[in-house]
Amino acid sequence: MKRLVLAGLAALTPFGAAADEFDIDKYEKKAFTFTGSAETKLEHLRFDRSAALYATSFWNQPRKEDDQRATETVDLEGKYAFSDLTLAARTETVLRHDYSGNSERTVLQEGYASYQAGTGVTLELGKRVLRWGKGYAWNPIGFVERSKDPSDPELSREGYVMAVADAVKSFDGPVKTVALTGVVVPEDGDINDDYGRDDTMNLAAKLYLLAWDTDIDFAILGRGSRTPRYGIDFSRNLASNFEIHGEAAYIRDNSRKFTDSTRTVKTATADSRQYLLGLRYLTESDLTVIAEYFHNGGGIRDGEMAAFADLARTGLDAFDSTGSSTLMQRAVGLAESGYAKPTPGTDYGYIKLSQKDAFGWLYVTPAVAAIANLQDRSVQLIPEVTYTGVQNLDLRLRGTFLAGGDGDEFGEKANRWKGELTAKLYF
Amino acid sequence: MKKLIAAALVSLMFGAQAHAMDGADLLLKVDRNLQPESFEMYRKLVNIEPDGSRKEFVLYTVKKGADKVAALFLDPPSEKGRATLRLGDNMWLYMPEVGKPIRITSLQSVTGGIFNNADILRLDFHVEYDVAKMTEEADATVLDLKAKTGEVAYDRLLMRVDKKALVPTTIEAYAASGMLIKTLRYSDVKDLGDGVKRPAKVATDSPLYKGYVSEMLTARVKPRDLPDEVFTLNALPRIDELRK
Repeated sequence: MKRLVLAGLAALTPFGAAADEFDIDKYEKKAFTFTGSAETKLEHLRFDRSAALYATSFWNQPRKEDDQRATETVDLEGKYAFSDLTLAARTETVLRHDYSGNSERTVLQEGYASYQAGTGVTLELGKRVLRWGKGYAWNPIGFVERSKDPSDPELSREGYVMAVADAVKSFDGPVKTVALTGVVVPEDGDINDDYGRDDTMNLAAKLYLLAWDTDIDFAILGRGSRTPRYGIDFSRNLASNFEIHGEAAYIRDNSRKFTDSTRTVKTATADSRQYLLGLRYLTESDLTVIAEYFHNGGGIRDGEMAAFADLARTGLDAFDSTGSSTLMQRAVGLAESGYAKPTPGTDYGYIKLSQKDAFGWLYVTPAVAAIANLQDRSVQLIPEVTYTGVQNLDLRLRGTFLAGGDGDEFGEKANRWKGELTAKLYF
Repeated sequence: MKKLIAAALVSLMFGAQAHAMDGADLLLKVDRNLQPESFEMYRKLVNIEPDGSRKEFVLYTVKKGADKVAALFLDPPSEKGRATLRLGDNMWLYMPEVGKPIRITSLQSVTGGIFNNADILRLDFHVEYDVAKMTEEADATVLDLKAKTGEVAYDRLLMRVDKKALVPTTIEAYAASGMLIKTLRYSDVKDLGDGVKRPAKVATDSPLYKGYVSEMLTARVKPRDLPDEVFTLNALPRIDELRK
């Protein structure tokens, strides 16, 4: 049966030719290229009805114990190259069916013009994804990007509209590369409206060095939609199977919302530090270990999640018994300000183990990741198995399990567990 | 009869050439016979499973000097746009969906299968290995190569070099523990586009993956001198712009 399926798939792909044949004419460069993918994801979610974030999500909706969700995602990417100018666009269309009905959304993930102004000099204008930092699960110096979800760090994310100038120079000697990147991110309420405060032009820059076989970045974001911030990162291979990396950011005037026993929303503003240390290690048996420690000095303090949970539960009781939504609105506001975001706390540990070609089967990769809030000791566990043995098709079976008590971060998430099956076809 | 004598003379001549060279010279000659120092080329990597099913990758590769290599995936669509860069012992992978280069190590594999990153972004052998011992056999010279540093993917290589063509026929790759990791078999010597006859095919198998085979087919090798700035992380997402 497997052979039949493979034969059918081989007939659908351009790889029906014998292995020894290599017709490179079909790989001649074309001015216009088009690629894409279609993904189907089926999810089953088991909610934790006593959790604070369940209350803030479902307080004015039908309250369910379980939900099934089906999501179709189509990514399309086109690129047109003419001399030193390249025009590129990438869209994502998501069709979703869940308890709330059907929804559809199309987003321009990227759309930009890139001009090669000279050897090592590039100018770009448009909506662009610009990722800074060396961390796998977190990026404290990701100053001009949407934040990463540590439970799925490789998920593609939407860019921001920006202008980018990039210059790079190579050298002989211990400093092999020096590169300077300057970025302008406008924010006017229509463009980049979720970047921060309105009607501001944001300036950022990054200096990259490859020195003594170590990647080093210095990054800065000026005062604008977000408060000023300064960052540094590094990454280095210590051996042919061992990499270490780190990041640190200093954020001026970082503000944090919280509540306490008064159940009112308060704001604390102070300079804060974020830093991360990590490693990637490959054993002789092809087991990859990624481990990171992350400190977020501007995160939720010990006890503040419990106070938020008390507000949400009290608010839900008040809404159910009297119809008053005052406390619930406060809880929802707090959730949106950060409590509902991935890893809003102060100290985290992350570990991911993935075994390539497990049991001697090529392309079968089981993995397990764990994210632990080191303050309240709650944990999110993510086991998965992926299969990439069929050309242009990726299959992934994945679970997410949360463990934590009342007032703990992962004990107050809306889900208790989630299972998902994803099939992604590339074309 | 004349042909036989001529063949014998040629054989003796090349044999004498191999003999006359010391191990380091021979390794340098092998390197130049495998590929120019600075070039562009196209490669197809094929991973073949025991049941015959295959997974294929097409890469456009550029190399400059002793320690700069970059490769761009042209196919399959699931990998298209991914690019890898090697500067000496440093390696990175750029994935368009991730949006930034990440450091990778030489023992990982961006394609899966038996070829690892060190095989795919291979530097000249003489850059990474010293000749520890040279042994003469009837039709081959065997070079026992020892890695210059602990950063190199394989601690030891046993390279059997054809005395006539001065290209490898087989290379056995060993870990520091002495374990055989894989065997590379070179074949199909022909002109790949630059007027020099080189092996167009490398097949590899491994005792760690019994029944699995990976092959690398090379085509359209052209000497090409590119600016150093092409081999930087900033240029990695734009490798395709080098293709003409």
